[in-house]
Amino acid sequence: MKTNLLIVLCFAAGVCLGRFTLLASFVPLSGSVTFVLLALIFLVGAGVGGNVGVWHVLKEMRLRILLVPLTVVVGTTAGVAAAAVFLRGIPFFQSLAIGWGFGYYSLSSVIVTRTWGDMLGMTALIANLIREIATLLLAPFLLRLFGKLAPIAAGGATSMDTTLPVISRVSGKEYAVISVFSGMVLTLLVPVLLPLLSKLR
Amino acid sequence: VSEVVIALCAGILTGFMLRKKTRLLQVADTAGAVAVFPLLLLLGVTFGSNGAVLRNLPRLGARAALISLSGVAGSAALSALVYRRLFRKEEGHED
Repeated sequence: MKTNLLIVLCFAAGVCLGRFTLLASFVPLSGSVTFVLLALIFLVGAGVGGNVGVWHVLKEMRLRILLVPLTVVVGTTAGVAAAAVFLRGIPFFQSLAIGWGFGYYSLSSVIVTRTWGDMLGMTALIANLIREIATLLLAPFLLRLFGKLAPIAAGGATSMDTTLPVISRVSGKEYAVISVFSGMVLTLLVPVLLPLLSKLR
Repeated sequence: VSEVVIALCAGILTGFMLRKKTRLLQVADTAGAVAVFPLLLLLGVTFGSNGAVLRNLPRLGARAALISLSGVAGSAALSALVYRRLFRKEEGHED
């Protein structure tokens, strides 16, 4: 949560710099963003590739565990489709691009901004921040309503790190492994699924 | 194939080859956490210099909340089905 606050402060500082200075017209922004983005994605991949535990979990729990991140993808898609009725003026694939950030706000908002522009990028940033905060706040409620997988499903990509402590407290320690695994798969899916969606526009 | 997917695959491969070097992977992990700061700062500058984004903030925020909360609701509801069918039984007790 502390890191989150720092990140939000960092973002707010950026907004002020962009609003009140001419920095944006001097710095080649898109170029530098692309570089940092690719570096970040490379590092995320390295973290998962080097994690020996992932392969063990997959072996032990078999394919059943893959159903958890799959549930998040299908469930999020269904939820966004249901909300599309109220989202006139924004194409379905663009709403889906926001939903498919799965709470991974830093990466998804940059990819969405690069593909669909500032307005949608800002929406993606807010939406995915809300997903993380909602999971932190609603985890006990979701557990009572939908069972032990629900907080993991709500957390999406964040269930591997930022929302993990809450999930393991609410759903139980034996669900922490599933939580990390699901979060990792979704984290990897974000940079893969969003470029696919961009082809549909 | 986009540059993003190439970067991801290169990362996974590198991480897998270096999986025994826990020290190095820890450094990569920290670097990843640190990279988020300049990324969001630059994103902030981009949005801040775009007047339209700031003017439309309430509308964008409302849309964002709707998309995000319906995504959470859809995921959680579907997870109830998967949980009842595949996970609860194995715990050996009904709760």
